[in-house]
Amino acid sequence: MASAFSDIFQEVSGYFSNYFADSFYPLLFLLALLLIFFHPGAKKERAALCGSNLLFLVIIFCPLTAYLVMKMIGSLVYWRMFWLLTIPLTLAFALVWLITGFSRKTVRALTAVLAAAAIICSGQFIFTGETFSARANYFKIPTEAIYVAENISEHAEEEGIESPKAVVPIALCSYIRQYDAGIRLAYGRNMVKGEVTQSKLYEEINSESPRAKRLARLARKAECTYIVLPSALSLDEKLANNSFIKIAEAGGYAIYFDSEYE
Amino acid sequence: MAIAKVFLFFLWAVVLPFLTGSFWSLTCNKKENKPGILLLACFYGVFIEFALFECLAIPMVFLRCSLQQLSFAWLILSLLCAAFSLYKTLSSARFLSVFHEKLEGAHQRFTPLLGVVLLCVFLQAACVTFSQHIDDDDAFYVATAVTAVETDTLMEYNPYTGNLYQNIPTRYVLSAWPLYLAALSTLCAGLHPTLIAHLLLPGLIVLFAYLIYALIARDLFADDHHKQDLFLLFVVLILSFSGFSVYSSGVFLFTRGWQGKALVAAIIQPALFYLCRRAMKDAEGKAAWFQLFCAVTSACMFSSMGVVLSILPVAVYTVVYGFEQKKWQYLPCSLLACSSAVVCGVVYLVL
Repeated sequence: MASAFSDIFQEVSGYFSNYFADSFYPLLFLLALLLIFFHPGAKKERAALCGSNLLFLVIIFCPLTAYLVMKMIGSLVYWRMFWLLTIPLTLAFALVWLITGFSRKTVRALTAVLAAAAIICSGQFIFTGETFSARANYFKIPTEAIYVAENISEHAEEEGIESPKAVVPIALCSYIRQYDAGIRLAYGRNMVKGEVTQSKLYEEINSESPRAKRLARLARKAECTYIVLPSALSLDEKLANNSFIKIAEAGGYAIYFDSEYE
Repeated sequence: MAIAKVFLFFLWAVVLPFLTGSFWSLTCNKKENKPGILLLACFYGVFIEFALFECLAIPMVFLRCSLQQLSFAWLILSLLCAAFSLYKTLSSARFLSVFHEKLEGAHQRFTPLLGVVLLCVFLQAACVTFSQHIDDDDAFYVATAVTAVETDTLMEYNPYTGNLYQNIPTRYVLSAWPLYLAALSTLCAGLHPTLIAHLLLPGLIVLFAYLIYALIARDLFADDHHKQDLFLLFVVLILSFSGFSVYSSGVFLFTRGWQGKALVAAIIQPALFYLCRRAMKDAEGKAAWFQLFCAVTSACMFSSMGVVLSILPVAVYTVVYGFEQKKWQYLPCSLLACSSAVVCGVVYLVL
């Protein structure tokens, strides 16, 4: 029992480390809680901010409650329990009391600058090129997925196919149906995430050099009327030999249609 | 046509909640009859609309109703709520007088510090609107909304593939947030759900998060505008620099604000802090408890995690305020406020 509890505590500590990475926010948060606890001016909020956050920490780290919560929500998402900590408002509240506690304006200004510097140095700026990029289109999904979806959709309409089904490489499978849910897919991100067993078709289309004959056979077996492959693979002729005719090329992808489809 | 669709979006997503909340901002704001009445109207209205949607969506999902039926049922009830609220508000001279006062006093309230805060907030909202962050979890959440619109069904098709679900998706079926996106799309003359999720909502969600922090600031530092502004400035700074890991609530707010779990992290947690405070510390009566119920129900609508992440905070604040004030009569009220989350939790366990 004791070792099981110790394991759970270790697990939660691991989530804590991952959540805060190498930032000093936990330290700032702790200092803020201490300041609120001891600052006479902040006495009114002592229970709401210190009491609640301490209780949250107890619930999060206590092996028994952690075990129960993990049973309910699953241990993989247990790190979301750290969302309970009201870090932004507790930290901001403490800093306001700290700064306004000084009577001289210059000291106030200096404290405010130091506090801001502490936050900046402890954390990491979100609005960087790493996190955000220039918008490629209004839908904010890869443009090639839009091109592919539009081509399939247009062709299916011309051919009178009511519910077209396609097999696409991993790079596209998360986005096609965000643009056009009228297109069915042989597999989706559930397969990438391992929620369903990987199929031969999935393995074939995502292999470095897909074999045209096998791919066509597996696609047909999965009732896919369309195959989408990177143009660079140059499988036009080989797929044509297996009755999958190239109908369009868009966004670096070639779209093939099963000419045997009835 | 596109402008008309966007206009409809703002009508249903912003104006309607504001009208619905105007009456509640009076009912729940008895102690101080001035501060934050307009912000409160938005805040309360949004949660009422979400709670209403969740209460309609869950039975309709199990009854296999269509998206059209859900959308129009929600719209009709929302319009009724808004009309009732508007009628009560207009018949109360207080709201109008406070509204006038607010407008006249707006320039006096404006300080350079508040200007900096507003500038930062609008820049953040603009950044999340005009730039892009691609998240693969949208393959489920956004695709669920697009699939619902395409098939006019409620969670009957697997959004990853478009095949009919073999079994009910138990983990997601009680969280109707993707259906809310789909319903907005239906009510905005077919405005694409992905556009709603990726283009129109993120900025609004950022503004709404700061609206909640502004209300908290008013509550924590009543009558001290300077402290309120300073508090908001630090909140802006802290959230902007919370990119230390991909898990932080700040990162979720700015990079995937259209996903339900981000709303649980960035909206529900500060909202519950504020509402529990209003209900338990300021003893604002039944109306405040009703609002708490709406926020908890909204948490369930956003994500299955919302069940745990709404019950726990309400329980903790009940204990904390109970000890502080030596009052335990709020315990049954807290239980009632969490009733929707408790029901969802039980259903999750049973399913």
